[in-house]
Amino acid sequence: MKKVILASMLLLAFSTSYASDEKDNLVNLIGLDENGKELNIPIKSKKWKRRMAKVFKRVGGDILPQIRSYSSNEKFAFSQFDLGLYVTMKFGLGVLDESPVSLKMKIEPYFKLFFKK
Amino acid sequence: MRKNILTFALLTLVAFSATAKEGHINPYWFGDSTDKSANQDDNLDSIDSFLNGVVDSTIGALNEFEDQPVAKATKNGWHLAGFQTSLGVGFSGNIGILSFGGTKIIEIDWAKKKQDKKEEDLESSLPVVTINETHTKKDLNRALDPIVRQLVETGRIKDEKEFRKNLSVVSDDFYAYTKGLSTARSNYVWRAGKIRLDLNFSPSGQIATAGPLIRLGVDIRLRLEFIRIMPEAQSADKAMADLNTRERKIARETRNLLDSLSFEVTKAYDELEKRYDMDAFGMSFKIIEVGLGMSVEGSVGVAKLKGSVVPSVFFDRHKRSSSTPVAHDKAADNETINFLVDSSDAVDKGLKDSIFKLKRKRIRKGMKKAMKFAYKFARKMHRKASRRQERMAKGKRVKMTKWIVKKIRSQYKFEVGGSIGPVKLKALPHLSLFWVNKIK
Repeated sequence: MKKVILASMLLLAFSTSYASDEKDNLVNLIGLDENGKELNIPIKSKKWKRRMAKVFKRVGGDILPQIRSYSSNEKFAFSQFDLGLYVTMKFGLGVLDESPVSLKMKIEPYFKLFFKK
Repeated sequence: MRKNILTFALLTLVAFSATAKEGHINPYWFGDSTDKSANQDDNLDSIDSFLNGVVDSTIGALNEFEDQPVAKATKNGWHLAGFQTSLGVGFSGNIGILSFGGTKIIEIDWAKKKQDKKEEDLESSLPVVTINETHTKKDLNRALDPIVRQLVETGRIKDEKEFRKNLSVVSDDFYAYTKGLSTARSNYVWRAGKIRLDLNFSPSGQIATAGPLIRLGVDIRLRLEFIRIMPEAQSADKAMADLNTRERKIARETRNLLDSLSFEVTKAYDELEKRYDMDAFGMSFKIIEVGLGMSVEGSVGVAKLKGSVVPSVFFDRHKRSSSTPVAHDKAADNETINFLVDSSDAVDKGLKDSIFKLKRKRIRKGMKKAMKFAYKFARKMHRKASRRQERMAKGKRVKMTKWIVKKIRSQYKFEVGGSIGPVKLKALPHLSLFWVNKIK
């Protein structure tokens, strides 16, 4: 019995350090909701990467050609374009018993892209 | 049986203490600087897994974008040159990628590895008016005038009179601060070299408070910058000749504040440098940014960095020379430095005005802790990059990346009680430390 307890506790203790070596780590998204309450939403890093890659692709496709065409306009002689973006993500929290309403939490992590000439 | 229960309880405690802090910053970094019981050797291992996730996902997404046809620079050369992500800390020390509603603790700038000699500066590209010691108040106004006229002509400013009035008030104060910097001592290793004020105006000419997002095409942005070019301090009589009485007070108090802060930053850095090699791992600790403000009573002090009315002063590191004073002034320990607090905070803290005088010894300890935190964070990021290179060298399947961490900015808030810690979600920072990648 003692050995079982010891083995399970050691497994539990080492699981944390093992997890950190795995490639798909958890990335926490953090922010405040409208009421000033802290929001913490863990998301797998691969999922977060896919979400960012999608935004980059969209930005590249939609915005980069626009910046290029702006630069041909002599009125706007700028050499850098900063773009602040945020990603709206909704996370389902499940459905309340006997309620047709599903609970969702919204979080909007943001980042910036810099385009240069 | 009793022994078994005790063993189980102990092991549970050990296991949970190992897991509970995962993704949280150690409370030592938030605690009072004088708390000797805190683990001063914490190496931020509890956020390892989170940082691995941030680095892997960022590099992965940037690499994927590189493969897109649209990512290739065209004839006129526009390309994605940088990416910035911000991290925040929750009330219990939980760290995460920052979303709306919070304040950043760490800002990480990613840039492409340098391919030519042109400096990839990730600073914003807003209109900048830069002056130095040789410029007068008239010169500053002359430099601002074409920008004002252009904004009015393009119709972005609807109320020219209001805009000119508000701009004149803030630019006069800004000029007074710069005269304080011109006359500050110049022989500390860390010394103030630049003051910057980012202004945001609404179309009606009112000063708008800066936020995480400025509405494109609605707010008008403008940066005023003073860069000190003279190695020696100017004489007060000469530098402050075109200032009125109120502005002279601002200039004198700014000079005294900057002298005190130069001393404290230099001393904190000296003490830390004895224990750590601050330039050992590819990132160099280069700049400290502090908010500068004026109280209701007209005293100058360290203020919240909130833009539009609060200029930032930048300290940078210089080589030690024979004229560098040895920072060992014991008497300075009991002197104080002004910190500005919001009037609502002042009431909460039982203060009679918006100035809080913080003992210099405590500020130094706090700065040391802030530098140590930034050092350990930068070291961690560097190790991650090194491990990636090692894996590549061993022939493991790691995709070659053209992206590096260019700059890390970590932000701190001083508590009125005297401690310092990474800013939490609701708090506003007073101090930023910049670590810059030495690889160009």
